[in-house]
Amino acid sequence: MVAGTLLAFGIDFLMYGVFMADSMKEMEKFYASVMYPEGQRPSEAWFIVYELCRMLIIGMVVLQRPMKGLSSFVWGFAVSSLLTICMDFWWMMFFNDPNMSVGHVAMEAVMGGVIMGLCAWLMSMVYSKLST
Amino acid sequence: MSLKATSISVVGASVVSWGLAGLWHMVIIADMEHEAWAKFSAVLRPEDAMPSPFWWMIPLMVFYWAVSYFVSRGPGGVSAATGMRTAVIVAFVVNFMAEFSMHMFFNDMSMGMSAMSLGFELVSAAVGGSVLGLLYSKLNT
Repeated sequence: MVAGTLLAFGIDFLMYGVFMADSMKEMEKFYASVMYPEGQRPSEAWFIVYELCRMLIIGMVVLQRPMKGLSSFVWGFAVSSLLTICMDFWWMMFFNDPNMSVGHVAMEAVMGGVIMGLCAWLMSMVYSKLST
Repeated sequence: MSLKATSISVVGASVVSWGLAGLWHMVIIADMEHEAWAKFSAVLRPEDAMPSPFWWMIPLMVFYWAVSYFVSRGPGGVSAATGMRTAVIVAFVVNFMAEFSMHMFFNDMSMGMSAMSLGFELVSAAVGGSVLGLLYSKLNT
C-alpha cells in the first residue's frame, strides 16, 4: 500500500505539476472565484492521503484474490477508470466547467487508469514478495 | 456469481439509495445545501439547467456493482451484514476522498456540511449494502 501510494504520488506530481501545469492553470481560471488564492493553498503533500484512499480501493480488488502480473494491471486500470468516470460524471452534472468534455473525461480515465494499473502491479509484486 | 442475482440486487440497492438521496438532498437539508452552495454559483450550472436527478442512478449503479464484486469475493459469503459492511467501507473511502480533494482547493467548503454529507453517505451505503446482500443471497440459490 505504501509502495503504491508513493508511486502514484510521484507520477501525479510529475503529470499535474510539470507536464500538464499549463492546462491546469487554464482550468484554475474558471474556478478562481472559489479557490484558495495562490500561496494559501494546503501543501501538495496532503495529496498522499488522497492517493492512499485510491490504493485502498485498488488493494481491495487486487490484493484480496491475490492477483499477479498483467491481471493486476488490468484490474487496477479498470477500477481506477470507473472511479474517474463516476467522479467526472458527478462533476459534469453540477459544475458548468467549459473544460470538462467527454474527450477530457476519457483522457483522464485512460491516464489515471494506466497510473493505477502500474501501482496495482507494483503492489501485487511487493505483496507476493513479502507474504511468502 | 449469478448474473440475474447481481443485476437485480445492484438495481434494488441503487433504487433504495437513490430514494434516500432524494429525501436527504431535496427535503431534509435542501435549505442548508442551498445556502452552502450559493457561494459557488459562479461555477455551478444554473438551477433550471441541472440535469434530471434520474442521472444520479448511473454512479449509484456503478458503486453497487463494485460493492457486489467485492462482497461476492470477500470472506464470509454474501449476506445483509457483509453487504452492509463492504458498502460502508467503500462509501467511506470514496466519499472521504471526494470531500478531501474539494477542501484542498476550494476556499468556501464548509467542514460541517462535509461531515453531514459523509455521515449521510455512510447511512445510505449501510441501507443499500444490506438490501444488496439480502437480495443477492435470496436470489443466488
